[in-house]
Amino acid sequence: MGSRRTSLLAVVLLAAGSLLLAGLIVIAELRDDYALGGAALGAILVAYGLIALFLRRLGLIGPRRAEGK
Amino acid sequence: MYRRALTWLLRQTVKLDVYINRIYPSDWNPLYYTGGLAHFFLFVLVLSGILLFFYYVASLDGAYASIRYLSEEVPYGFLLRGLHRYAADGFIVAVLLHLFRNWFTDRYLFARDGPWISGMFLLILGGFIGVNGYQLVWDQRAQAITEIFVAILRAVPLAGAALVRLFLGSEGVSTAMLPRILFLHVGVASFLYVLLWWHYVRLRHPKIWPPATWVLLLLGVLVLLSALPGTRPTAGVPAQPGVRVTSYPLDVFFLLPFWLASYLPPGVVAAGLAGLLLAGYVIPYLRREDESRMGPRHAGVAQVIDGNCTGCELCYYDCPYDAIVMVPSPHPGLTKAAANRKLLAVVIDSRCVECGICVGACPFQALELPRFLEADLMRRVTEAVRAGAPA
Repeated sequence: MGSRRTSLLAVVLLAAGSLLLAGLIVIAELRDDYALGGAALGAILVAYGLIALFLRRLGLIGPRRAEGK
Repeated sequence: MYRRALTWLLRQTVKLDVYINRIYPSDWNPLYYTGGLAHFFLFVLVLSGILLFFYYVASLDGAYASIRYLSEEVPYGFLLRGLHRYAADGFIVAVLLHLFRNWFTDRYLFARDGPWISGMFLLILGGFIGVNGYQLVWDQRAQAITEIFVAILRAVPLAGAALVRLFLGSEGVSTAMLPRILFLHVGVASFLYVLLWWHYVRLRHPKIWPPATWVLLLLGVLVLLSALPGTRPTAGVPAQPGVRVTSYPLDVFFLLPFWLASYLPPGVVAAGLAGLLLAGYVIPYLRREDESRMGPRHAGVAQVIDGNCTGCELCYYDCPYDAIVMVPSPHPGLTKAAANRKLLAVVIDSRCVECGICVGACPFQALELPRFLEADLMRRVTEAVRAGAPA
């Protein structure tokens, strides 16, 4: 149960962080700061990857045979 | 000694798998997708390479300028270059992980020698293409590695001078050189897909793509490495033919032989590389004489127990190596379930890798691995469980 709560919290935090990073990409585009935009894009992809991983740990995506405990 | 070392490495690999499975869901364990990861990096390489091709000028005067223009003037051009650069490193790392994992878990023996040999070719060509990629930038590093590469080529007995002329287009660095290197870089890269076909041809369900989380994570890491100031690829100092280059940044994944060549004679480095490759090619055949003493490591080609086979085709669909075919049954089976069968499973010996998947797939006990009988396995597992010791 504790592990599920941690995973859920991680998903929420990562989703909030991704939203901020998306805002950062927009700001970087407006300022023509491609390095910042690129870094934010990389970070958002990492965050999405981690969200997918935590969703999988929660059993919400992917085959569920590994869970059940 | 060799067998004992491999057994130890097999145990460590399995321990690592178990440890990682505690962190990730087992079907997303990246170590189960090392081949898929290599394929993912290759996909990024091809896609970014096609886009880079539109900007690259393959001439001694234009190459460095075109790379610099892409990196500094084109919006997000540095990302494109960085993705290509770091995906190449990722490809080599994934291929090496794939190679060592399959070596340590015995997935290179007997009918699996084809994927092993094609994999060795993929590794060699991948390394060669990577070195070519560094030469295409035509900065001082490119100049230095070209000089060493030419010295290594010259050290090849009999054919050395001809190989140098073929590579450079003349006796020394000339305008014909970079188009040739570009052709080698792109042409050989296309050939990688032919080798991949050979690598996959025997597999029915190859895992050629990693799970979504790894695609996103690795793509993110590649983009981050390409964008962050400390790791963003830079154009370096332009090449100056005739001026001796004393130091240049080293890439451990591709340029290690060139680093060695600054301490050892080029001929020794070339011979060392050739020896290493030869060892790679003979590995699957080193233990062929030893089949009878391999125990569970060599379970024997799967055998169909004719009387039990019902012709249900479950083994045919489950075998990932296309090693089972269904033929019209010449006579009825012996059991009640097999009495009215229309088909009979037949194992193609040369394709069977002795994995036992068909044994697990068959609900009628119609398949066995002769040196690893299901009943023996059950007995050993039961004994081990009773004794509280690992099997």
